[in-house]
Amino acid sequence: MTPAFTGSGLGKLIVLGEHSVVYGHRALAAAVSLGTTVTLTPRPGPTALSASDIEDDRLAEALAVALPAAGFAVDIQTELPVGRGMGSSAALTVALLRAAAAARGEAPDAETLHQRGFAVERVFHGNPSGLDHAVAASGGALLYRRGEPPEAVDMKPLRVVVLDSGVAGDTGALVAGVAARRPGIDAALARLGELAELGAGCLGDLDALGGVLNEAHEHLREVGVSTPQLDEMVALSRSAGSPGAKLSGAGGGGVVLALAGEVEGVILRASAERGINAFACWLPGI
Amino acid sequence: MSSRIPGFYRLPPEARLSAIEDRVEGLEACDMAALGGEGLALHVADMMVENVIGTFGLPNAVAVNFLINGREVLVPMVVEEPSVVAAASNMARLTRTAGGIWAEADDSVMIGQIQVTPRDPTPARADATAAVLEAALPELLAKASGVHPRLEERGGGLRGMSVRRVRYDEPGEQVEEMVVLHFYVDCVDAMGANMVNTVAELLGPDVERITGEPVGLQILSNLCDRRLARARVTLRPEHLDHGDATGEEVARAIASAYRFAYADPYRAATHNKGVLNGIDAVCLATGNDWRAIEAGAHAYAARSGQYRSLTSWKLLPDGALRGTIELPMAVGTVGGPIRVHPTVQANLKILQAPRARELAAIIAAVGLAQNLGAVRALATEGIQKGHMRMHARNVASTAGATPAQVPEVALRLSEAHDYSMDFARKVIAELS
Repeated sequence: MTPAFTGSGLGKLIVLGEHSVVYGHRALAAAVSLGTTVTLTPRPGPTALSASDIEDDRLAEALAVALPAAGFAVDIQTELPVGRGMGSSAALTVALLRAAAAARGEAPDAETLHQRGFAVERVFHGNPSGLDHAVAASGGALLYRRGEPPEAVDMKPLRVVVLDSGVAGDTGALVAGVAARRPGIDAALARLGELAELGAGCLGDLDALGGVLNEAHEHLREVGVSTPQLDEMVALSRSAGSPGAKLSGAGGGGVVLALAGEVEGVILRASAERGINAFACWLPGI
Repeated sequence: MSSRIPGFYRLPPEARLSAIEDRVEGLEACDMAALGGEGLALHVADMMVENVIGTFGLPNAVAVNFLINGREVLVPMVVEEPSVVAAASNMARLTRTAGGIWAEADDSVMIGQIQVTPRDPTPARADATAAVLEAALPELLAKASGVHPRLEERGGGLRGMSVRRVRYDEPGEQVEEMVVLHFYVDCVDAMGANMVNTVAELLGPDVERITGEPVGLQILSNLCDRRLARARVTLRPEHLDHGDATGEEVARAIASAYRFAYADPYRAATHNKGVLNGIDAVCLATGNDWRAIEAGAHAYAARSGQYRSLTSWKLLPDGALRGTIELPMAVGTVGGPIRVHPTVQANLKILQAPRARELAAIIAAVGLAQNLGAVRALATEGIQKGHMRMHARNVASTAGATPAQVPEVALRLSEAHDYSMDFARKVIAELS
């Protein structure tokens, strides 16, 4: 049997600081315990996709950038919902690079993956911030500010429930919408940045972190990126007993992040009753 | 600003008021006069209700020490019952060492009801009426949207509708089938009773036309379970040490008191009364309709079909005690008596002019603290009594009581509240 080479990358959630990060404030992102695995099986002929959980026209281009042009069958498996701001393309990027490195007999460190990742991420996002694939490569939690290297944050494993709106938000339009509402919402954006720093300092205290997430969701509503559906999922999580819940990512759809606390089962049941797709996972920390 | 004012309770009232004035921004001469006792003017009172002959005074106190969502909060409370404000302040001090209380509230969504009672009392007829109404929801939504344009400017407005089937089935009486239209209105910073009732009156004739059946009552529901406020706190055993009782004992006793209130309506009524001691006092101080809050709270406490505790106190695997509360909280910060009552205005300034949802969250936090005070007092009293009983038995046996005499001697020591060796020897001598 031919030896196969595998690589994997983790998905992420923006815990705090989405949108405000565009204006120079800090954001906090954390890896999730779900990811994407790429398996390269050597075979003659050009490198090509043999099986994939992800359907995307840009996949071929990403393979061309990340992998040798010939010699492998590529199998992509993912546990991440695609197009929900959970870093599925970054997880794929890192998984591709790790698998390619394994085929060469290398084991690149997180920094090398981060640098190489830009070229692949650019296939999916015109101008990637680098945050997604930094998290996908390193795991853990990162505090990030535009133009500065991300800073690792100590975090114990944190159990969360992700509620999926089933809708992909249009990130470009949402970012433009926020820009158009300035300067009236500048105070809310600044507070969102503060909350990211506060949250990074209280990741071990569910009540305090929950309070910070709850307040952040209010400000995200104020800046105009929530939807009635996201608000409903947040309210559902809180009434199930979650210490804190907020939209995560660009908004307009995407997902809600709820701290599971002691009530993971309650949130999952309440979601199922309303026909909302929800799943629990870890933010594994480092 | 810190809500910690050491020695606040020892100051005379005038000095307390000026301590508040020093800490709260924006209190003006009129607010100070209102708090200082001028209160509600007779001519204003006369505009509020009918047949006014005077005004009625109640103590206006401030609970100190509250840390809610990481913010310092001074909580005005109007209440006639002693110990309520002291207990709230003490429990606020206890919870702030644990990082404070965390609280939040849903959007200010009120429920309005329009009742339809089909002339033909069969379930089939009511089902058909419900189906007709269900199909007409888009039309009704379109009609009711935009009724309150100013509310929509502030981010509120209609938030949907649903159709419910209700059955009157009192034993021994003729069964009656009803169809009830619920509509939901986000009232933002208002309590919202008037807004909801306006929408109900607007929709009534359309509901009658669409269903062809007579419309009965059309009014808001005080069981506003889409407008819930929640608060929670996590206490480590060391936060709960009290006199003789260790924190672990107190935590276990509080959790046990909660289980009693969850399981038994007779206990739950008293448990929830303690919660509402704090909640009503803040509602009164802020000009809110505390009967509406009471009605919603009790109805919500009985939502499972049994009347239960509004709070919960549970031991976590790591030994911490977690307290939570959830209840409907239809409070406003604008409109009604809030606007005209000068003391209410002053109290809202002490609260740093909260939005309605912030006020709802604060009130939930106060309810949780108030409940903690009550169950902790009951629990520690029991523990201390237990300790003293044990102590009395030890003293009795050390003083030379025979095993047969110990229970009787211990009982006499407890009755006399005298646990001295001398007294124990005297009792033994009398018994021997």
